[in-house]
Amino acid sequence: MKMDLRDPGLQPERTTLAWRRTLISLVVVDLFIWRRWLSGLAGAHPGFDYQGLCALVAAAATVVLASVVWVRSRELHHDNRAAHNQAAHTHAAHTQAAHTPAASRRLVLSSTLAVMALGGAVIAAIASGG
Amino acid sequence: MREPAWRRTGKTPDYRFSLANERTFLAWIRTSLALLAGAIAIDQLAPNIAPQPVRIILCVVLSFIGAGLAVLSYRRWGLMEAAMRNNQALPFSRVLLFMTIVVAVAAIGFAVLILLAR
Repeated sequence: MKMDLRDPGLQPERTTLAWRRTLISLVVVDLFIWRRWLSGLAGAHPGFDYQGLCALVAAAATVVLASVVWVRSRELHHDNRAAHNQAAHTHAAHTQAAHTPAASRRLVLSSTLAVMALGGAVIAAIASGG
Repeated sequence: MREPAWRRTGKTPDYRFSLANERTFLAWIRTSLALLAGAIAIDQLAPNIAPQPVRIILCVVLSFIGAGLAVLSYRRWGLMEAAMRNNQALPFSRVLLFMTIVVAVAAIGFAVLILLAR
């Protein structure tokens, strides 16, 4: 069937690229938070470093999302190649359907929580700054 | 963390639809990140756009909408997949209209502030 042979590789690749674009967008927000923290260090005054805490939360969110992107890219890439090899033998590219699982809820929820934590850091960085 | 009950109902959709749903989720997440980036960029790079309290309130509101949008995109991802599993119509959502209004109001609001700040 023609439908089954359609688009064997591009769906996983587009999905991987979408994850990486998302990580890059998150790093842009990080840079602003870290910029404020670093520029505040010059005139360091005693007391709790709120901007430092925001910078730390942003770094943690980045680590979480980067891990999710890494795991998901590996899943998609690995499954894609396995399906491809199998398809070469059996001429059945639709076996990929069985090998390309939908994202697990854990990965999607982790990335959502990472973005929410980053949102909290942004709000704190704006509200505590002068 | 176990998969929720709805992920065992119905039948697993075509992987292409699952991946498209995943990319839609990511597109909404990037919209959310863009709002966060916009808020903190205005706060840091345009300190004279408005009196300080006004500027902080506007940027915090934008950030709250950004963080809320992350929650909505997760919820939407789940609803879409549940609908696909059970072969139902995709749920209608007011998020599109809401975001259109948010972006339009923010653009007009900041345009006015830029004109007034001169």
